[in-house]
Amino acid sequence: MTGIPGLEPLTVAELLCGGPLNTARLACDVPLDRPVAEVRLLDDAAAAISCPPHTALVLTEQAARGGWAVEVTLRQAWERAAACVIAHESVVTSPIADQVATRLGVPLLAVPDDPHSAALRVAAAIARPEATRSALIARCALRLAESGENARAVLGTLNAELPGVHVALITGSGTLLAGRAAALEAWQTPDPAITVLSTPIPGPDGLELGQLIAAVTGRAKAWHTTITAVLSIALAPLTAWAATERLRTDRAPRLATALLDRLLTEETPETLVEATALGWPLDGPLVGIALLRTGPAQDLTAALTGALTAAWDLPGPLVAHGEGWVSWCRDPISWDPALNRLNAITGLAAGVAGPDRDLRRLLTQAGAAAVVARSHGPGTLVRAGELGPARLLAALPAELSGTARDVLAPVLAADTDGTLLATLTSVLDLGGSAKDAAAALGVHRNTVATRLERLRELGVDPTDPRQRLPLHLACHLVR
Amino acid sequence: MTAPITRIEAEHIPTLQAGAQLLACGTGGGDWLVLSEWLRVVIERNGPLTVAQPEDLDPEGACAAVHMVGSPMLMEEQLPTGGELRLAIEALQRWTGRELTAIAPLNAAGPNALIPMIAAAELGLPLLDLDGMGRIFPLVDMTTYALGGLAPTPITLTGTAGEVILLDGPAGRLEGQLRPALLGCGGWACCASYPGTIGQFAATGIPGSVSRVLHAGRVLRREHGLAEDGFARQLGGRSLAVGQIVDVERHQTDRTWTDGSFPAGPSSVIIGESGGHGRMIRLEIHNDILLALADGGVIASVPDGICLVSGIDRQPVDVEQLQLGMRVEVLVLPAASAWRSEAGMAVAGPAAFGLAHHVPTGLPR
Repeated sequence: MTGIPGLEPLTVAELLCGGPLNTARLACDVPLDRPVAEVRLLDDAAAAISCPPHTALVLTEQAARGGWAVEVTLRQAWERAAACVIAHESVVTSPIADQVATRLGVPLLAVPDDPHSAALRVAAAIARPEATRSALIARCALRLAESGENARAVLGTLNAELPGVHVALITGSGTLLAGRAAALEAWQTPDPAITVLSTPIPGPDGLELGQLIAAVTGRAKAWHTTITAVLSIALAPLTAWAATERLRTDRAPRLATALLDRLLTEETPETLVEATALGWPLDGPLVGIALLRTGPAQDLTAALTGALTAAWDLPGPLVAHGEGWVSWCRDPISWDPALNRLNAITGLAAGVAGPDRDLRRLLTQAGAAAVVARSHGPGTLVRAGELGPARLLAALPAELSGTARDVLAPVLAADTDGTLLATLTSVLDLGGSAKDAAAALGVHRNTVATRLERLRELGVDPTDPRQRLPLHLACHLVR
Repeated sequence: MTAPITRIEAEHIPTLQAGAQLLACGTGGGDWLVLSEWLRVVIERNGPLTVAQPEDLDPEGACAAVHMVGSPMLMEEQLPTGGELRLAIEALQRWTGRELTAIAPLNAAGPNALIPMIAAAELGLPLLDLDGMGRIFPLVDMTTYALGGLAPTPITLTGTAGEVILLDGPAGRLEGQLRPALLGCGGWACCASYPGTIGQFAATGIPGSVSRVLHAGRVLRREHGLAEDGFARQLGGRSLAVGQIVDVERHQTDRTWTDGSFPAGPSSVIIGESGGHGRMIRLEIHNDILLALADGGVIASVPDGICLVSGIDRQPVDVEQLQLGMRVEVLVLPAASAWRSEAGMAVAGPAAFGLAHHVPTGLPR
């Protein structure tokens, strides 16, 4: 029972993977890239002595009586460079045999049916390696089709159907999204004994979604070709999965908002996988923008998202977040044209930040810059790096605004047209100078003086050192 | 080896017992308090017994092997009356018509190391410093005596009720008749077998076996400054591995290689080697430890004696006492050269235990 010369023989992995031994239990953790050139039925363990290298040794039940017979055969297999040892599962009951197999690096396969028929199946398979490989790829294709358009299910299928191979879905920069960490480890720290096969996954937009990597021990070329073929079959369901996810969020932008909130509060493998499906850039230096409406305080975020998204043509997603919208991408770009276009739809001010590796910090900084930009009116763009200490004011929590209104209650009650508050803010902003404040407000100096007198009557004195800081903060908060 | 022993006195008994226990290769079955007390009583009554080298005696003098068969543990339950050995010897003498001039051990290991001493002291006869196994084998005819042409039959069995059974006939039929007779006696019996001459015993026996029991006991008990180093070497063997028991498997007889021709059921003990290569050591036990594998490779097998001593105090450990987690040292005590011949291997080698087709040739010597 010998393999065909000229064709690369099947490996133990291929016999297991949808091949003649797909019902066998692999009892040990050993490399499976050993070629199988021949099959030999053993009626007694000692007969293994005469086997040539790369033989699959099949122990009959007669030969496997006594747990030690399996161990003796494993030893013989090791000494003769045999491919593997196959025995009925009822005789591979001792965990010790598994341990010896692992120690010797010899695959021990426990089959549930008659070892004689297992031997015949193996013989038939190794006689037609190409047919067996085709059958194996066909089987994987079927299983992948059954697993549906879901990254986790696809990776689960790949890992289950490719024995001895660790498969993982990773981002371009090497974050594990689904599959086995062992694959990522092999990808990051090259080991001459392990080959890592990788295939880029195209996203629905043609941009690379991530990579599918497979770590396999050994150098059996035909087996690598088979694995690569199976990986390429898996690309279609993965791209389809990404497309489905994107369609879903395009139809319901709230889903993207919720996903971003989850991503920023607690980064779990699930959120990472979803974000990758949407093509969101997640790692590497990122630049970001936050957009806030400058008009009257009225929540139009949901209503405007559709219109803004339609006008958004920059790389990176536009996601409704907080009171406004955020976007981020990998490469620094000029934001101004996009801001101008969107500003035409509704009055917007923007804060930009980055580059930064941390998405959460990036968006917080851009948001703070946007708050400052809003105070300067529509069409303003402020860079987080240029904010200086004003960042603190921008970062004041919105919960304080109620207290601020209390502090300024007498002023707000008397201030019918907002001039008192504007004057107070301006004077405080300009270090207490009535002259500068008059210039900024475009009124006469005496008008400012009169308004300040009015404020003092209301119990508010910007020149009082004890009042100055709380008043200044309150002005910023109620604006 | 130290000088041959010439006399056995009461003070030697604990040492002899320890040595006999080690040489039993884990199958001694208890500590045979009854036997050592029996020997003590007889020596105190009749005086020390003489251990003789066969060449110092008349080679034509009649001699027989005196021993017990059956379970030494049952002897603790069904106590001997003290007359069984004399009765067995006298019955054999009547049947053969020859009066014994010396006693020979069947196997100077386990309880059968002490039994011929009791008989020799009881009858005032010299005990030959030899034996027929050099260890314990499960069957009466697995001896170098038989290998050399001496027949085990006629054999007499005596039980505690005073019954005497004599079996005579071809050696090949003996075991089949012996076992039911033994059951009839209550599980153990005293025996006199292999009637022959001192010359025949000298020609076929393993010399120095009785002295070896005492020497092994002295090494174990660290008497005379022994056993400070090279423990296994001083016992004439070598250490195979030290480790911890990680598994004990009891096999169903119908799922193993055995054909049921041996008295006990088979089992396996797995030892995880500490230090060294961290190998998995598997001991296959069927009455005796028959085979030792390290990662599936044979490192020792019958007819060599494979025995276990405690990894803590180096005292012999019975296979019945083995428990998970126990620290043990595996020793191999090479078999007598008589067992190395082709005929010897056929009787006591792996083939005799049903291992022939499984154990690769080229066993370590």
